[in-house]
Amino acid sequence: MSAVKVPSTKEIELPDTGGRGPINKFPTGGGGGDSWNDLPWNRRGPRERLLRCRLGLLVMLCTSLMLFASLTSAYFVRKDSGTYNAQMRVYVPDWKPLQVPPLLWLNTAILLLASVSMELGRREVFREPAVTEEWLGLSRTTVRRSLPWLSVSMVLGGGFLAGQVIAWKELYAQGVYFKSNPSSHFYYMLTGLHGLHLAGGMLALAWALFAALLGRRLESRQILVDVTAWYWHAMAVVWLGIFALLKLAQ
Amino acid sequence: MRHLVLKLALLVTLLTSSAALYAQGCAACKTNAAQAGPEAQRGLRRGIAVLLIPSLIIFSGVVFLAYKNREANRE
Repeated sequence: MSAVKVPSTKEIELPDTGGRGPINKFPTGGGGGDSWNDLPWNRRGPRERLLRCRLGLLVMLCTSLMLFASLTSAYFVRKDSGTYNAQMRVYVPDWKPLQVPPLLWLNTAILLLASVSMELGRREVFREPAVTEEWLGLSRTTVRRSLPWLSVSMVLGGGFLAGQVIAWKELYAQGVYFKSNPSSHFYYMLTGLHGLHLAGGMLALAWALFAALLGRRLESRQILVDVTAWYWHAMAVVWLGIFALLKLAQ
Repeated sequence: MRHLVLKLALLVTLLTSSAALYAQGCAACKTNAAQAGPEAQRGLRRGIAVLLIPSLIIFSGVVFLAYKNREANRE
C-alpha cells in the first residue's frame, strides 16, 4: 500500500475554463448515411441497376455465343468429313463450296454503321449536361438528342435484314436451296439465326424508343438504350465472325 | 511460397506423366474417327478447338466475376 492516495483520472474534474462552447452534435443539414454504398446490396441506386442489367445481358450473350460456336464447330467437322460409301468403303467428300453473294459486303457495312450510330445514341443518353437538364426537369434533352441516332440504327438494321433476304433470293435464283448441300444448309442456318437475333435486337430498340416517347424514368431509359446498344455491338461482332467463316472456310 | 512451388511442380509432373487415357471411351466413336481420312480428322480437331475455347473463356469469366464480386454475397 502506498502512503499517498493518487486520485484516478476519473475523479479529477477539470475546472470550467470557459473556452469554446459545447460541441454541436446536431446533424448539420448535409445529412449522413445516405451514401448509396452504405445501403444493402441490391438497393444501391441506378448505377448498380445498370451494372446488373449489363451482367444479365452478358450471361444471355454467352448462350448466343455458345450457339454460334457450336454451329461453327459443326461447320468445320461437316466440311471436312463426307458421306460413307459402303460399297467402296471410303468417305466421299460431298461439300460443295458456296459462292457467298457479294451483297454481303454491303450488308456488313450497313450493320457496322448501325452499330456506330447505336453507340452515338448511347453516348447521347449518358451525356452529363443533358442528363442534368433532364433531371432538373428543364427539358427532355437526352430524348431529343438520342432519338435521331437510334432511329437511324433502326432503319439500318431493317436495311441489313432486307439485304440478307435479297441475298437469299439471289442464291435461290442460282439454284442454291437449303437442301442443296451441307454448305448451303450452314449458310441459311447461320444467316437465318443471326437475322433472328438481330430482329430481337430491333424489338428491344423499338421498346427503347417507345419508352423514350412514353417518358419513363430517366435511368430506366438509359439502361434500356445501353443494354440494347451493347447487344447490337455483340451482334455486329458475331456477324463479322459468321461472314469470315462463310467467306474464308468454304 | 515453397508449398506453392511444390504444388505446381506436382501438378506439372502429374499432367505430363499421364498415360494416354482415350477419354472418349465410346469404341464406335473411336474407330469411326480413326477410320476417317486425314481431312476429316483435321476437321474434328478444329471442331473440338472451336467448341473448347469459347466455353473455357466463358467459364473462366464466370469464375472471375464470382471471385471479384465475392463481397456482395457476404451478408
